[in-house]
Amino acid sequence: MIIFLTLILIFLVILIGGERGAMSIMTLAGNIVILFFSIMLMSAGFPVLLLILVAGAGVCYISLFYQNGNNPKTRAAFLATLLVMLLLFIPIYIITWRSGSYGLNELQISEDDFMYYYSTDLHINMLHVGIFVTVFSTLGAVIDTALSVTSSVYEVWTHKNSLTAKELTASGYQVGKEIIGTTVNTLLFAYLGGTILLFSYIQTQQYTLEIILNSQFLFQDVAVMLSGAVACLITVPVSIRCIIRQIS
Amino acid sequence: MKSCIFHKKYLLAGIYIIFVLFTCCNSRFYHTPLAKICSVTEKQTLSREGTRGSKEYYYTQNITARILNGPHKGEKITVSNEYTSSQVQTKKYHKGDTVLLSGSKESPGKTIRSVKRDGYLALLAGGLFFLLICITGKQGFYTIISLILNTVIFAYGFQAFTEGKNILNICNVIAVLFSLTTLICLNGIHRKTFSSVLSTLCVLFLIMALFEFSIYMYGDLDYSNLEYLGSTGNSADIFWADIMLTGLGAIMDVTVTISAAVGEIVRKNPSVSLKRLIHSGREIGYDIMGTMINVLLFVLASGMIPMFILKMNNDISFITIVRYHIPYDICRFLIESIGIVLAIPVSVFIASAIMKIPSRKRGVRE
Repeated sequence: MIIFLTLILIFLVILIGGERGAMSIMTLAGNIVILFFSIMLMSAGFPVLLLILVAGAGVCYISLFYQNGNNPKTRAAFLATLLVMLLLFIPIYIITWRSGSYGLNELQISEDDFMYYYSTDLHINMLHVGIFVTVFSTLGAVIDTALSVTSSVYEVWTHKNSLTAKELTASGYQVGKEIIGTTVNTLLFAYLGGTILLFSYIQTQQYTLEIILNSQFLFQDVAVMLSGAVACLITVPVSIRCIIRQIS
Repeated sequence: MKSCIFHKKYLLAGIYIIFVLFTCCNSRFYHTPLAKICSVTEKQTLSREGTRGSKEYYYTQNITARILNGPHKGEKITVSNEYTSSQVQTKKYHKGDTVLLSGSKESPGKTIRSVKRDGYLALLAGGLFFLLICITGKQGFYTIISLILNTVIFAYGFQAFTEGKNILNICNVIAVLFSLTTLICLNGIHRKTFSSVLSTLCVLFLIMALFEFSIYMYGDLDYSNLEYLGSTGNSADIFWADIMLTGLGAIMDVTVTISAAVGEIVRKNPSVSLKRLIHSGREIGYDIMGTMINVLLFVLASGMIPMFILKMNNDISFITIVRYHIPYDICRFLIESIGIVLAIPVSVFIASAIMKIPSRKRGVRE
């Protein structure tokens, strides 16, 4: 079934996207390979924080330049992504650390597998793994927002070259406003869809509201969703600045 | 006018700060005993050989904490806590952390249940709302409304599900409600909105049909490894709902981006030809297609990384995990990606048609 669906996906992407669709498939494969190697290296005890930097830069490079070519749009988006991620790394670190939302959550700990079968003496700092998770979930959305904004501004600019920087900024904010709402909702739905099982499980466990609000199983996913949304918001003005600097 | 907006921002920032401060010291409203950690002393108790031959150290923390609520408020309490250097199952606590204790308010227990996280939740959610209004203005306000409405709709749907109604019917209804509320909140009542709602529902129908078809062809997945399965029996139906909702956001994102961009081009340059418009729409579509699929990849895959690391250190190979532990995650990802790809041609055609035809009429009339 998975092979069947994969074939359909590849077929559709190439049918609809043509040559550039094939590029998208290659990019996707590249990102999966990066994730694969990251997981391999991390589970072999490679320092995780260093890996965030290397793998993050690799993902940006592949998603932007390999997929969409080297042009003002992608250069601006690359710059914007890097700036935003550097800006947000420290808050993400602090929040993940102070709120202790790393490692296994309460529900996973109480599963039989982890209680009896698995050894948890990994000698891998789970705090750093938790940061890796948050940064990488955010990264995809930030790249997407940055590229959407720069690509739309660029597209408007090619239709009418005479627009001033101020008009382009306004146009960029207009596009930014419309995509931010849906990006935030994309993240919300990606979270909600996965939680039906979680919530029906919680219902059988009779937790009080206080425990749920302060629990790790809620916080770790909601925090990923919210920090993704915050990162996308900050990306809009940053990437407008970057694209205008690139084309003028 | 400008100063008025600035005042509003200060007001919002003030509300935000007060809100966060309130959640940091709302302990009197809690029924669970809370304590703030005053001092921590720790010592290494033992070291054990971990996986891969490395040493894993075990520490015991002696924590002195001040109780924050209930009849014992202000009293000092000592609790002990164990943690390991990887912190997989256990946590290290720090001075200044506020924690939930076990037991009741009247007789607080001697173990720590969890860190108090509601302050961080408020910090992030409030920060998101504040930035939304600051950066996108009125639109941000509507986005917040759409977020709240969607959560309420989801809660209602979930309520109906726990009362025993058929989850598939609920899901169909709330999917339509979701797309209507989200898109109307985000775009207002506008031609763009109708084109995106129409495209979203078309694409949703297509991918669910594809999912049904592939189940029909290749048999159902084995759901016994699904996380948090608990006692629920109808995991196949829940997974169906899961797939439908997870992708909805991403599909709406594509359709809205394309209709917004097409609308923006028409607004800037009303004389653009239909062919040029479709060309531009497709151009934007190609730009976002790859990155949208990557967004989903990262959102869905990142969360599984800790699990991978844990299992791979317990001699389960990567291939085994992929084949037996996460096939539904892969399946979900593939279905949503197909949805995103299909959304491009569907929304380009619907958007171009809806945007272009009425504006041409208007041009003739003027």
